[in-house]
This record gives sequence, C-alpha cells and structure tokens, in this order.
Amino acid sequence: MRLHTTSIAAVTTLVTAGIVLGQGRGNPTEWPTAYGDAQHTSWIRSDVSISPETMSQPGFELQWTTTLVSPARRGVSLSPGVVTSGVNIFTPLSTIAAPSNQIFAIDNDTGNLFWTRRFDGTLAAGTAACPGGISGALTRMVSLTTPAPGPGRGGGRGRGAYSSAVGEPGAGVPIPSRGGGAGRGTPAPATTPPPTPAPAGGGRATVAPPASTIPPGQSRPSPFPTNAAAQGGGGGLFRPSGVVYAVSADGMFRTLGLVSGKDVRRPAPFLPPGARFSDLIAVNDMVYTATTHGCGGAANGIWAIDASSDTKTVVSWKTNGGDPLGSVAFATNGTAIVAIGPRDLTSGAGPGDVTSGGYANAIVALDPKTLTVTDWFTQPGVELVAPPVVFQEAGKDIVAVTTRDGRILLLDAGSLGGTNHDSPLFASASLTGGAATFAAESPAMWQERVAVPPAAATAPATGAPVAPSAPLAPDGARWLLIPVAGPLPANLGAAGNGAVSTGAILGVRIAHQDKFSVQPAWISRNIAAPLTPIVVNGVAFAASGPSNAPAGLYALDGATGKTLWQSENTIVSALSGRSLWAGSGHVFVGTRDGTVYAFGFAMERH
Amino acid sequence: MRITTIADQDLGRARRCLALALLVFWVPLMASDYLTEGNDPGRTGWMKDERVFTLANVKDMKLLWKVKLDSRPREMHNLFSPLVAGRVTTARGPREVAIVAGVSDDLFGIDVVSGDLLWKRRYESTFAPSANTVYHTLCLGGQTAMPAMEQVSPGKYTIYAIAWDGRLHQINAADGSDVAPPEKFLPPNGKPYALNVVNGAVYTATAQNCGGVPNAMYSYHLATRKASTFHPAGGGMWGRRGAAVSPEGVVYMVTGDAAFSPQTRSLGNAIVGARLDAVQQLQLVDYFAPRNANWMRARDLDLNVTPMAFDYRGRKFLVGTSKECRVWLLDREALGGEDHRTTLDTTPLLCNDDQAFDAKGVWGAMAAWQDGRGEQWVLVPFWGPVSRTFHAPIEYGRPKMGGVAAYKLEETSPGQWRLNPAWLSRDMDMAEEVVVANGVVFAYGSGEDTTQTLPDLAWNEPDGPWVGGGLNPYSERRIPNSRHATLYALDGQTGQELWSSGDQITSWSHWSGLTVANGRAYLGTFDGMLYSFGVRAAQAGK
Repeated sequence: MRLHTTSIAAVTTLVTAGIVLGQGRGNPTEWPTAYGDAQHTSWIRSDVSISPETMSQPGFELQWTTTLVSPARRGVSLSPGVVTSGVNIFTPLSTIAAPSNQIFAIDNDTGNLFWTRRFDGTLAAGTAACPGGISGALTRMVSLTTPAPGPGRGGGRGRGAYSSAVGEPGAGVPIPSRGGGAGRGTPAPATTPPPTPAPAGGGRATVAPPASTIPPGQSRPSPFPTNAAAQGGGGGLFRPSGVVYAVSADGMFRTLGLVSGKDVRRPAPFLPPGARFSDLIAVNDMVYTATTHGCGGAANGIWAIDASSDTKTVVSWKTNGGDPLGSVAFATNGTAIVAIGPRDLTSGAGPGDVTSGGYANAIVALDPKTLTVTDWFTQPGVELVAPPVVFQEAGKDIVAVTTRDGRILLLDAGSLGGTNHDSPLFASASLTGGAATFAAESPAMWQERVAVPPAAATAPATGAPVAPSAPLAPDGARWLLIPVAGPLPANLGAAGNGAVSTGAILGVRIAHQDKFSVQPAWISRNIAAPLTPIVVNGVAFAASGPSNAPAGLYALDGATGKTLWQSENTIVSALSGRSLWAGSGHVFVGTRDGTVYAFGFAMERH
Repeated sequence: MRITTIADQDLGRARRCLALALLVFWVPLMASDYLTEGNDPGRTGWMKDERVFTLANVKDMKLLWKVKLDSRPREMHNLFSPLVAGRVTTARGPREVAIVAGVSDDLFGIDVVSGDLLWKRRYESTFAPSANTVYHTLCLGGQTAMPAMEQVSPGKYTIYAIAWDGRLHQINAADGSDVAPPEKFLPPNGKPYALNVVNGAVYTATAQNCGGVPNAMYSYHLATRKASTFHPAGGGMWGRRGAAVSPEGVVYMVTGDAAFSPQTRSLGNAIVGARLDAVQQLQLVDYFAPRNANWMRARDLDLNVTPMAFDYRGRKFLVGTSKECRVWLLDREALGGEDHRTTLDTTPLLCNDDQAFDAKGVWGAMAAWQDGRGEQWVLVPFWGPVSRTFHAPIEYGRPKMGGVAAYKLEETSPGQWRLNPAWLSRDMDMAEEVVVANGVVFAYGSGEDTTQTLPDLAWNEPDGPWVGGGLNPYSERRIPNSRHATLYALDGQTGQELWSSGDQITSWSHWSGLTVANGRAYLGTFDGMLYSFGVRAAQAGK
C-alpha cells in the first residue's frame, strides 16, 4: 500500500511540477509520420517560433549538421525523419530510417546521436527498381483527426514576481503572496509586500492526481502501455516516451522504443524480404505500407499489420494493376485512401483502368482492417502521378489528387466518384497548359487562420523569435500547394515570384460555397525538382531535389509564395530521396552523403 | 663524516618521540574546525588550516572506524556529512567532536578519535504529519538541511539546525542540550538545504515546494529573532551546500526551473544575490543568468550547484555551474555585467554532451583553493561521461561514470580571466562533493542510481518488455540499483590518485556529503554508517 500512496504523493507533487515543466519549454511540434498526419496534409498547424512574420526577420539559419554513417543505396541514404517531442521528458528526437538497414535517432536540439540501431542480415546488391534495404520512412501511431490549431506559445502559469518579506520577531518567516503581477520595465529592487501569515500547518500543495498517472515501475498495472500512452497521449511527465514502427530489410515488422531503439515487442514477419515498400503510417493500432515494382516477390499492393496484437496478423491487397503511389492516407473515419498509378506500360493497359480485379490510375478506398476495396474512382484520360491529400470541408472528407495533365480532382471520400465511380466533386481545367506536369509528389494542404482578439502578451521564454501567440481560428483561405516539374503557363493568372524553368510550387486557393472552385494564386520562385512542401504555421518549406545538384531549402510565404528565406549554398550534397521533415521548431534535410541539416532559429543554446 | 653515538641515537629517538607526542597531543590543540558545509561561508570546500593530511602521507590512509548510527532513512536520505569542532570542552574533557545530522530529526555527537557516541538528540516536534501525508524521493520530509555550527567561546560551540517542523534549534555541541529554545523559522515539512551562519544570521534555501514552502532564500537573524525570505520567482533552490555568503555579506544561491525574465521579475535558472537590510530583511542585490538560461530550462538543465564566493588577487569572484556542465566565472562586483548575463569566462562543456536532465552534469559541490605558489584552482566534480570536447593537459582516462576536473584561474591578460583546464581525474561512479586539504583533493563517487526515467526493456529482456522514458525518480527503483560509494584522495596539482577506499564502503550515499578535518575524512552512507578514514598520525592519536 505504501508504494501506492507514495506514488500518489509523488504524482501530486510532480504533476504540479509538470504543469509548470510543460509550459513555455522548448518547442513541442511533432512530425509523427511522413506527410505529417493521417490525411497527408504536410502541415504543422502552429509553431512557437516559425511564422511568416518571424521568417521575414533574420535569425532562421543552419543550427547543426550531423553526418551519419549510412551508405547510400541507389541514391538514397536517409529517409524522411519522424519527430517526437519529450523523449526522456525533455528531448525532441528525430528517428530516421536508412536503406543500409539502420535506424538513427538524433537529438533535434543538438544534433547528437541519441541511439543507432543496425538490424542483422546481409543486404543484397539491389537494382535501381529494387534497391533492397529499408525503403520506407518510420512512423509513430497517428490520430485520424488532426488537432485544432494551437495558440502558439502561451505564457503558462507564472510563478509571480520576485519579492521579499520579513516576519515579526519570533514569528518565523512570512510566506509572500505568489500571485504577483508581472510588472514590466526595468528590473527593480524587490519591494516589500505586506507580510502574510505563515500557513498554520504548512500543508502540501494539493492537486488531485489523475488516476491514470501512477508512475510506471511503481505499481506496473501493465507491462506495456497502450498505444495512446506510448504515443504520448497523456500522462504528463510519467508517460512513456513511446515507440516508433519500422520494417527492416528482411521484411520484419519492428516496434522500437524511442528511448533506446530496442525491440520492445517481438519482431514479426510482415513483408517479403527485399520488398520495396513505401513510408509507413500507423492508425488505430494498424501499420500500413505499400509495395511496388514487384520487388522481393511482393505484389504491388497495400499491406497492414496489427501492431497491437500478439499474433501480428498481416493483411494485404494486390492492385493487380499499377503501383500504389506513395503511401496510404486516411479519411477521418479510418478508411484507407490509396492512389494507384498506371499499369506498367509493357502490360498493355493504359490510364484510367479498372478491370476486373485490377486497378490502375485509380483512387481506391480500403477497409482499414481487411484491406478489401470499399470504393474507387477512375476516369478515362486520368493519369495519376502523386499520392492524394485529404481534408475536411462542410463535414465531409475530401480527397484532393493531381493528374499528370495538370488537373486537380476533388473527390468525396464517402463516395469516390459517385455511383459510377467516375465523377469527381470537382475537376479543374489543366493548370499546366501542357508546358509542364505536376511533379510526382503529393500536394500539401493548409488553411489560413483568422486571428481572434489576442490574449495578454507574455514574455518570450526562449531567445528565438516568437510567433504570434493570439488564439487563431482555422477558418481562413484553404490552400493546396502543388509541386510542379517545370514552367507554368503565363496566362495561369497566378502571381509570379520570378522565372520558373525546372520546377516550382504552385499555390492554389480552394474555395467552397456550395461548389468547389480553385484559383491558382501564386507561383514560387524556381525550385528544381521540388518535393512536397511542408507548411509550418503558414510558412511553406520547399526542398529542391535534383539528383545531380546540391539540394536547396526555401521558405515561402504560404499565402503569397514570396521567398522568405533560402539556404543558399549551405547544403553541399544532393537530397536523399524525399528526406525532408520538420518539428520542434526545425526543418530538416537529409542528403545523399548521410548528412542531416537542421535549420531553425537559434535557441541560445550556448 | 658524522659519527653517530649511542647518545646521538638516544637523542634521535627522543626527538622522534617528541615529534610523535606533538602529533598526538598538539594536533587537537591546533585542530581546525569544519563548521559548515563546504567549510566556509563562501562554500569553497577548502580546508585551509589542515595540517595533518599531506601529499606524502595520504597514501597510508586507513579505515579508522565506522559506526552505525541509530538514524532511520527517509527515502534515499539518511546521514549528512559531519561538522567537526576541533576542541570542545565536554564532561569527559576536551574532545574533537563530529556532529552528524540524521534525516529523521536526529543529531549525534561523536568523539572523532574513538568513534564513540558522546550524545544523541532527537528533536521534539511540533509537526505531526497527517495520515494522508506521504513522501517521496524529492519531498521526503524530516531534517533535510545539514546544520551549521559556530564557536562561541574557547571550547564552546553552538549547533544550528532546522528540524522537520521548521523550527531553528540552537544546541550545545558538548552535550546536545538546548542553548536556546527552538524558534519558529520556516513552515514545517519543507526542504531546506545546508545552513550557513554568518554575522549573526542563519541562511538557508528551499526547493521543490515541499510542504507548500516556496522555493526561496531564508534568513534568521539571531539577535532580533526575525526571519526573512527572498523569493526569486524561480524554481527550486537546491544547491547541495545551501546558500553561499560572500565576505560582503551577500547571500548567493541558484534557482531552478522557471523562465528567466527579469522584465517580469522572474529569476529562474539564475544565480541570485540578496543581503539583509537594516531591518533584517533579505533584499535582492544582484543576479546573473547564463545566456542560454531558457535553453537550459527547455531541457531541465537547472542551476543546481551552490556557487562559490572567493577572492583572488584583489578580485571578488563567484563561480557557478549546473547540470548543463559549463562553469561560469563571475565578478561579484557586477554579477553578469550590465546585462546580468555576461561572465568573465564561460567554459565549454565539461560533461553532459547529451544535455540530459538526469544522471549527467554537475550535481555535487565544487571546491576552490590556492596552492603554495598562490595559484588558484577550481575543482568541478561531475556525473556521467566527460565531454568529448573537454581535454586537460593531464588526464587519467576518459571518465564514463563521472570524475573531477581541475581548472586553473588565470589572468591571461590584464583584466581577462580564464578557467583553464589543468587535469582530469580517473573515472568515479557519480562524483560528488570535493574538499581540498593541504594540497590533497578528496572526492567521492556516491555509487547511487541517479537516473530519473525508466529505460526501455526489450521484449526478450528480464522484466521486459517496457517502454521507457517516463519519469520515475523514486526510491523503490533507485535503491536496489545503487552500488557503493568510493572515497578518493588525489594530488591537487596533478589529479593523480593517491589513495582510494576501494570496496571498503559497502553502501552508497545520496545527497550526503564529504567532510575532511585534522587527518580524517568522513562519509555517511544510506545504511546509516559513518566512515572515518585517516592517516597514521590521526590513527596514533586514537
């Protein structure tokens, strides 16, 4: 019994402390999976320090580089990372898979290697189509619903202002009032507040402990936390740091503790060895990936494993047609949404093809548990080139997808293509005019926020610039940011930001008043071979990824496309695949030489 | 050629006997005192007056005695390091007496020659924890502050101690009797740290808001019986040696978790200085926060080490450090300069490359001393691996579990002061307090489990699987994982190990401390054992 009561007391005190600990410290933004969330929006809603305003000021710069010993396989050495805040309570961590059958964990603040893990086994040489090794990014469990935008940095509970007091002779010390107003201005000598009586009993601070926060190791009700707890779903300082999911080169499914990289669950067979698999994504205790190119004998299709069960049941679905494009996205009801590309042209089939039992150039909805097809969309003449993004509008999940001929299609996720499976809610005209194609990269989706009257300003708690902290509502303009592989037509009607020759980001405003409409609004500066941009608090970070030149990183105003910042010649190697991610106030780029570049505002770390 | 005669031999023997007699009988007469944690108000850990220990004889240290005291542990705490009064007039005659506080409101008087208990005292308490009052490692209840002592007249010493009920006791070191009735000082059930008695005032500081007692500095003016507090609106003030007091009477202490925002009068992660004013009220005098204070807050790298105040070549220095594991050299006449954030020197990281909030960094207590050539040294013990970037001209390996680093304070150009690495000790298992006596550096590895989060356990490990990373600083987990303490004597000039207690100490030490005086070194451990190691001269005096 004593253990229990001790725990409660400890929780009482430490939760009290934790309230303070958790406020105003560091930058808690996370990137739990490729594309940032289950809907693949690539959007971090709010951030402590990054905003169009702060990016317009000096200070955003290279913070550190770390070179990892990770031999490239077929031009890729590092996957996009996954960011977890609060590992061992206070460490923001990026976990990065490498084709060399390794996982790296890096402290986002310092660039120090936190742990590394190399899985057993010898890798075959691989081919361009089937490089072998780990081909998909890691994932943590993600929620099906995206969090509401936060208010940015809040002030948190203060501890009052400094003060002093003196007691009457023999009366002991008076305890000063701690609610002191936070006067501003030049620091002044302490004033003397009126003495207040000491508490008669000297009682403890009394904060009722939440029943669910018995510290592990004290009573250990379960040896393994729920996924929600493991993923940081609550529990304050006592919550476990969580796990990250991986697939090693031998196709085994791995559940790795974020503190150490150890297998905290028995590895389980998932994919055929040598399979080429996409970035992982995990929702509702299931982990999903897509296989392509028939590598390792794995048919093109979608695979899922029950991460929570002891049996680790695996289900899969074959496209019997094209390769899945990218990884799996989800509607908010849990339905898996997959874009299927064209069939291998050697097979003789063409665009817009759903034959009996086979899918190509289609958007397919799958039951999340059984991976059986529940719905699909395809249309003659539509050739899909990139994974979709899902957003919510008027209570519906809307699937946005781009086509090779430069169109934007919007589909009702609840009825893909209608009864005939060929009718989108909206289809734009071609925006590329035949001069360019949309890149084979998913669009990003973000929404401007309209400020409501700000709360009282509070002092910054870090040396970094502080993004606006007023509560914001997500009811502003919605944007689709589309990577484009070449110049766009001059008559597009979008504001330009310089000549475009080898690629750009196209900003398209999406409006909905009974019907959808799209308005090309801006074209970024030239960005060669751009990846899907990542939007952080209204700033779109775009990376240029040509295979024959050093990568570049650009910060664009998400509403105008104006270049706010660029990395110039900082990055000296080509981008490693799609190795771009963000979180904890940083934007990270991984290059083919195994180097991770961390850009952000200085934290006055030294 | 000198011819030695029988008479010469007799004379030589007589001289040796006389020397021995002087050692045996004169040493107590010349004995120095260790009256407060860190030996002096500035908390330098330097036993300036030590004459018995020498670089030559310390290699012959032996276990003189050990005694198990009737002190009940609370959480991971038990005994505090002894205070030593060199010559106390007791009923049994003059004695060198060690005063040992136990966490369960106990106080012991011990004859240091024999290890015999002279007296024992348990404070009567006005505080009765309710049935619902429960404790844990951080808020443990009991007597948490190492007492302090003053010599009030030849042979007479008064001990100052704060009991669990928050009252200040004044006790006769000769017999444990009250010199004055206990006085109200703090609210009960708090967590005060080591006391400092200077110019008629008793100082302490508190942490963790235990018992609802705010994290603050406190003073008790003995003549007026007025208690005062300065509340810096920071986090816990948990430097091991309590507050330091400069020769100017300024009380310095570190603050932990909170924003450093002087505009809003919040002095978190800072060093604050306060002084008693004319009405015996503590008033803010100055403050310093490192430029990365808020980074430190983000990573919970509190300022957690009592700063040291000392003078050298006409300059008034203050030296601080923290879990982050840099050392700050400050000028007491303008703490942190005009912006309160500018040091005279800031060292690169000594340890804690990982910037972890637990089990790494500086957690013990530093020392500052001058050698015979007048060179000023600063010694910094640390937990965990030495930084990859720290290098000293003399190194005894690259510590993994902890160690001691020595810096020389040097004026590299007029007005430009630097802390230059001089040596790096051997590996020590969680190196804690450092005390310097006659050129010998005494340090110890506590051997305690200092982790505060749970580790991952793989599915095929014993007790696995477990997803780690959650906070768990609790005694139930850490006590079984703790090891044993080891005491070391090092050459102050080179850091070379001269002596080690090896495996003689069988338990570990948490938040206790190290005392060195008159040829004896003392360490208390969790099991209630007080160890006394010493050199032959002291042994001969037994």
